Amino acid sequence: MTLKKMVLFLASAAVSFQAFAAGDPESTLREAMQEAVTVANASAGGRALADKLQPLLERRVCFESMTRRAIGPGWREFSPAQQAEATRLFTKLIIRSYSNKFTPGEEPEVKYLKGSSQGPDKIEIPTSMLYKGSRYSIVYRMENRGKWLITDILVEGVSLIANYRAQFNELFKRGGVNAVMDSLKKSVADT
Amino acid sequence: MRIFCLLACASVLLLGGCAGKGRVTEGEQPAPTGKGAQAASDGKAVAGASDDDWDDVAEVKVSDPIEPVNRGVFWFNHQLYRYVAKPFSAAYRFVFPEIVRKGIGNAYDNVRFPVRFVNHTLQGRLDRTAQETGRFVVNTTAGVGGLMKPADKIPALADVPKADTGQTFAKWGVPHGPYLVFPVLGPTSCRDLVGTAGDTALNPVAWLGFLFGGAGWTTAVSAPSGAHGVPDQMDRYDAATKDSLDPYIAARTSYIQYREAQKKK
Repeated sequence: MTLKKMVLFLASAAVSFQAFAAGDPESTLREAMQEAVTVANASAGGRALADKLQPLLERRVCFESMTRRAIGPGWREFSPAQQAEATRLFTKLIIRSYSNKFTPGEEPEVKYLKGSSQGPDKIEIPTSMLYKGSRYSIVYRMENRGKWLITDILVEGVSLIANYRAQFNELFKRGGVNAVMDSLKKSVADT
Repeated sequence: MRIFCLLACASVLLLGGCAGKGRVTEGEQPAPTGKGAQAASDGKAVAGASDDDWDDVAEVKVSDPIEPVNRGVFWFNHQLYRYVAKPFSAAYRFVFPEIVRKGIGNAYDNVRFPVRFVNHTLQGRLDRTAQETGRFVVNTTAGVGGLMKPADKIPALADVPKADTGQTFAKWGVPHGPYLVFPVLGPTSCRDLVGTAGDTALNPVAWLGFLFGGAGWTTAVSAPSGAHGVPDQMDRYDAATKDSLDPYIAARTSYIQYREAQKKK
């Protein structure tokens, strides 16, 4: 084996190892869903559920990237401390919103459809979920960042990030970083 | 029938206005000014995360030239939902067990078959027209007048995307035109408003109104989703606006994104 071939072989082996280490996105998503449902069914719902789901979701969802993309280019004008605070508040808001959608005891019936690659290390996994008698089309966007993480959720075509981006844009245009931070604080405080 | 007349008149009046372009409000984002801006400092930044991936978020555009008026109507609707529609939904869910509600919803959906049949045909999707016809026959016969949906169990007939007139216009390349919020009916765009008038004209329940002089109940059931659809509409409204920073914008972007997704189906 020439040196060039050997380097190529090693490089490709390294790439496959990385892909292997990250696991397969669909299995990761299935595991995450199962964990969330198990926790939800063992809880009375509401705020207690949000607290229980937080560590689990922080392992599965890339909230830092979600916050950055939801806020958009205005993110550059946030100081590092403001970025950290915005991420903390936005994470809380999303987890609370997600927790409120669960009714303990109800088991969602999820059909996983074929994922479509959106570039290197990016995938969209469409699912069809039957929950409490209604069927929803939910698409999970995931990225491989050492492990597969959820970066956006689209419910019936409505992207969580795009939904908040439209709102943050208006706030940012009106009152810059402070308007965004104030509004986030207010939303998290309202329960 | 009043709703139908209102829609028909409004659509004729507004058709002219659809051609004009209003202020584009959503999707107006400052252009990224370069790479390598500071990364998040909370220690959670993950390797490989660049901070200029904002363009990954689909841009959603709609013009909203009468935003102050729309916001006023949105506020009115919000009060209406809170004090009328929500209690109605709760009462409806309390009075009718789920199986009955499901049956009413299914029957209503079944009878709207002409809306889907005509629109799949207008969209050139004859395969879906055939599937819809198959669904209608199976659900009307084996499903006892559409109360049940046995067609969902037949793989060739399950999961046929819904079609409506606004969606047909979208597929033909007609733009949204201005975003509008109607009292009671909620968000729509100029294009979808004309579409709703078309859907109503294709809805057999509305034909009964023509034949029998507009009895009140036909208005209630021929409205875009009917009175039985109110609880589901409330759920959708809550999903779009709860935990939002500005419910008006959340509802507007959700509506436009939802319609864009339907256009692609």
